[in-house]
Amino acid sequence: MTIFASMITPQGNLEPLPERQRFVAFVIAAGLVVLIFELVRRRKLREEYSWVWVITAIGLAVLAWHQDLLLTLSQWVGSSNAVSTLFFGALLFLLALVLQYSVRLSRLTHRHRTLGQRLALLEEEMQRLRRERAREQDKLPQRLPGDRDEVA
Amino acid sequence: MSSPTVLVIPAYREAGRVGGVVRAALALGLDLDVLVIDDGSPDLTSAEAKHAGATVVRHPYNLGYGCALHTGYCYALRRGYQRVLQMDADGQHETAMLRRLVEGLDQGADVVIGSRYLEGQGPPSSLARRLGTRLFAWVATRWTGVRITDPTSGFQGLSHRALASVVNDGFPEDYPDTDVLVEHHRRGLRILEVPVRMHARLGGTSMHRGARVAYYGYKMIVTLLLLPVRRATPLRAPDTVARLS
Repeated sequence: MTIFASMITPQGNLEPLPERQRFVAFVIAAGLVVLIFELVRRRKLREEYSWVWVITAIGLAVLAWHQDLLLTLSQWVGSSNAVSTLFFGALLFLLALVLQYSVRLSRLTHRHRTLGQRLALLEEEMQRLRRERAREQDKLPQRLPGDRDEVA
Repeated sequence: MSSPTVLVIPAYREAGRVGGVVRAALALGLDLDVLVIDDGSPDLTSAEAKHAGATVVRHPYNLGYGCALHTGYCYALRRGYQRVLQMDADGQHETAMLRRLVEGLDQGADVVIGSRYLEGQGPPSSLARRLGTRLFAWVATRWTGVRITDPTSGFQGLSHRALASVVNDGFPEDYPDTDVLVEHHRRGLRILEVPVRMHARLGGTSMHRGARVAYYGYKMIVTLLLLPVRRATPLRAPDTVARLS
């Protein structure tokens, strides 16, 4: 209960983000958006992986622009200053991203395994069917070039 | 398919050994087909096995021991085999002991494990591996209620009931040992251990070496802890490999 109460009540005077740092954060966010769109345009990054980065960049820009929001957030997480909150957010983002990639990697590993197994079994089946067909053709009477079909 | 039984031999980089194992198995006169799963070997494993008289299924790339076994099981089910025997390609398992596995299946067991520890000590191994084997043998025995002394043995025989169970896509791709035995027990399959002779490897490298032994322990503990609550298969449709259209 004490923890929840401390999250609601203001805790001293938090230092706002200096103007220069706000500007740098805003430039980084804008640069990130431009970079992500450029990578998508060049088809080096798929759309499905780009949205997390774009949302992060937008989040960074919003926090840099709205001082009150950043200070409230700092108060919630118990941060002593606004810059630490930004770093904390970046760390959380990276953790979430790595976890998401691990899940995707596990799924891809399983699909890759299944694909390899199915390919191996199908190749064996194809070779066996070819051998059987060749054996059947060997059993059929050979048709010579001069042979004609008898028509009643 | 010329016999109701197939011997599955997973092999990776076993050129120089697999041919002898295949020939020895065929020479037993046990009425079985021999299938070698070449797990993407860069050497002449496939050619040697084929030349010795085995059917060969070749993975396009290395997928792991468990995957090779799983491919063998799927092949056996698709081709309508009633029983599966499995052994290693490195000459560690004595082919004459296959008769004991067959006898175990004849007695009505669904899973027959060839144990190197029921009679004697087996070939020498590292201290970590010996300790791990003892620990997991104890876990398997307590969980299944059947005395299991060699949970890491790849020398096994499976009935058709067991075969229908192991083709599930959730079959472990690296170390199918204690977790699979426990799963057999949970599915109501009858497990039996029979004594077999095993020898030191004729060559190649063991998959239980170095840091892998530590990973093996971690992986097995996590798998066993989650086993009662884990989803059976990672894909939505089960048996996607075994039931090709």
